[in-house]
Amino acid sequence: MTFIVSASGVSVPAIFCDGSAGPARVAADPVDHILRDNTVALGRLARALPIARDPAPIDLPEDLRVDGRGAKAVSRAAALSVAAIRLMLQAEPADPSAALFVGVGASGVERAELDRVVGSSRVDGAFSLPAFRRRGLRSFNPLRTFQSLPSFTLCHAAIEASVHGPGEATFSRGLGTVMALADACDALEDGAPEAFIGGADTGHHPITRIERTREASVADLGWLSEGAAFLRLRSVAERPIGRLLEARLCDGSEPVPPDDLFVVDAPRSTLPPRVADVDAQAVFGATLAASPALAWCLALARLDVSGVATIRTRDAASGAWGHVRIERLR
Amino acid sequence: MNVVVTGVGVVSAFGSGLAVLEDGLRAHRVATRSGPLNEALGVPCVAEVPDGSPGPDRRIDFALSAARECLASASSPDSMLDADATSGSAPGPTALAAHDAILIACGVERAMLPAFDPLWDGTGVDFERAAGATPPLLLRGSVDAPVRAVCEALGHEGPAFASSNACAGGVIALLRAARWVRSGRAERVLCGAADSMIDPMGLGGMLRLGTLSASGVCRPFDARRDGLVMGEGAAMFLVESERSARARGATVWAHVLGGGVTQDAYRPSAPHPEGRYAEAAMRVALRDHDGSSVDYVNAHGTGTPLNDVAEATAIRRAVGEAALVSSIKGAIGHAMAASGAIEIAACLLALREGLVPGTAGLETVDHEIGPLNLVQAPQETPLRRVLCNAFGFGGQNASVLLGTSR
Repeated sequence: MTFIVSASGVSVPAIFCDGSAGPARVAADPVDHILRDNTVALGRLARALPIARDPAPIDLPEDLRVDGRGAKAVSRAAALSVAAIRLMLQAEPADPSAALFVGVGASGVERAELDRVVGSSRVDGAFSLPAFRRRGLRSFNPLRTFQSLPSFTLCHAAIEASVHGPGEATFSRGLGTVMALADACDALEDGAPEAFIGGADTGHHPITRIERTREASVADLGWLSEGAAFLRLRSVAERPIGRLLEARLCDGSEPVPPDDLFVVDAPRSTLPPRVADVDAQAVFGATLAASPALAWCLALARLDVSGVATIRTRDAASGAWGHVRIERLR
Repeated sequence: MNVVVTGVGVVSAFGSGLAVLEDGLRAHRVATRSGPLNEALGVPCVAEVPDGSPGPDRRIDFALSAARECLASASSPDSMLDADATSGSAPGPTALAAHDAILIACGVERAMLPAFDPLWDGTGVDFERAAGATPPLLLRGSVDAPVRAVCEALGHEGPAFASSNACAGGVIALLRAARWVRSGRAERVLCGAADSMIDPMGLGGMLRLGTLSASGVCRPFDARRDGLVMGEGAAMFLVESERSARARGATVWAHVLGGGVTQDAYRPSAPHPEGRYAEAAMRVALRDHDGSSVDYVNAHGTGTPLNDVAEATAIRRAVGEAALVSSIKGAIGHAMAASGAIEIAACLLALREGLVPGTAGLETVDHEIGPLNLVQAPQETPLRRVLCNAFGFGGQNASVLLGTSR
């Protein structure tokens, strides 16, 4: 299996928000952003974000933002997904028959909406179904329902790209995004002219933060972050930036090929015996479903002119490993 | 490589088990009923699983029940599957091998609204209180909770994934499983879907979106159709290569002959009005087969004004007007992510028993539907090729072609 990684322009079209102080900054080219900035400082700021605090709004550039009525229907992860796809398509639109595979995470309506529903559904200090019917439901903007559907991270991206080929959303926990990459390759072999594959997710929803804090030790958790990244795959491309060599599940003890670069996308306490050249989660934080896709982009950026990178992703639920190898072509 | 279905398990509004589904469809019963939750919300009725789990996340129990029935039905004298272990309440670790995979379409998270009570501080939800709560507060049922529960019950440590493809999820899961088997990514895949949105937020959200039937009757393709009736349930299948199935002497329920997945990329809240990409999904599924070879189409048929017209147009273009067409959502409601999977189970019954389910609720075909060979009451006729459609909120379309042989 070898497919060309083709991106429009010279940047890897991914976005990454540090979500720390003030409006979350967005880097159109996250790798340059990360290399320029002090990543340790970024990490400290984000780690200090308390659970109770609302995440800062994503301060997307105007041309990447979903505005108006659509904004009410778009979850934070879907907004990131749309922005990343928009970045990717700036130089060249998608083929209408393209495939789209996305690793997605938990969803959740905005906190203000939740406050309205919970607050107006209470009687004598407890949730009341009649009050929910009379007041709670009416306080709820029906468009917000779309925020609670994880598959809409895919659907909004498909609408943005106007692609009608095969499309699937995998609930990721990490490894699901790697499987989505393998599925995207199947779609190309099956005749799709191109495939967009990536992930989009946020760790900043308060319930996600509570769940992750509960599930992982502090050492494992790292710092929760958010982002989106996509690769554009084709069988042939005029200006390929890389070639996808492998995407599969692997045994955690399987030796790492002696490639030019070894990128690990895993919680810190589970890093494999061979020391990685790059720890993707130390760079981006735990971006959950987006994490593998950001790691692939990071690998492409870290390889100078040519070379092969192995990227290993560890699933947050099962502990199983995913194995991706990408060759940088220019 | 020929890929086949060798096991099936179902939980529907008729109850648990494939035989229960068959009885209900054969008798042309309607499983919708009224209960305390829908009455409290002013929704006329729902299609709840009878004696369903009172637990906080019913999807888990549905998935476990369907998985157990599926693996038990897939067992054979030479099988690696342990029929005894899988038929009881605690399946043993031999149920699936390390190279087998699990893939379940799971719908949305289940919001546990009453769990927010202790977090209310008078002005808003104070999540800091939840962080240290003992025992931990379950604020939502995770999307992949059914997958984790099935893995734990089966002792499965191999690959296991949840997908989130709305109401197209069940069909997409089967097609994806077939692809994994063909590519050698998995030896066998236990796949399917489990969902329930019959909870305050799920039912309330759909009510606010205006998709629920005000009359409380789901009438697919009918002139008086006014929306869907919310259902729930699960269906699971074992998918493997025909060679593997023959080698272990397993019963082959159906061949997976083709499949297509497309996206409308039109609007978040409405299908493409002409069903253009639903038609495309059917055409891809029929890539190696003539549309006229399809004997029966199990339609998505939600009973909503927009879906049924678009789907009818798409079926007519892709398959023609001769094939029998019906929807079982009038009988068991719309089980959301699980709907496509339960309807695949109905298609397996159609192929094995020659049972074409009727379309409960259909009395007068809407003139906008146009010419289509709609089946109102159940029929018995031999079938060789059946097509099952499942379309998702947001514009995902999936069709699978199943047959008795290649």
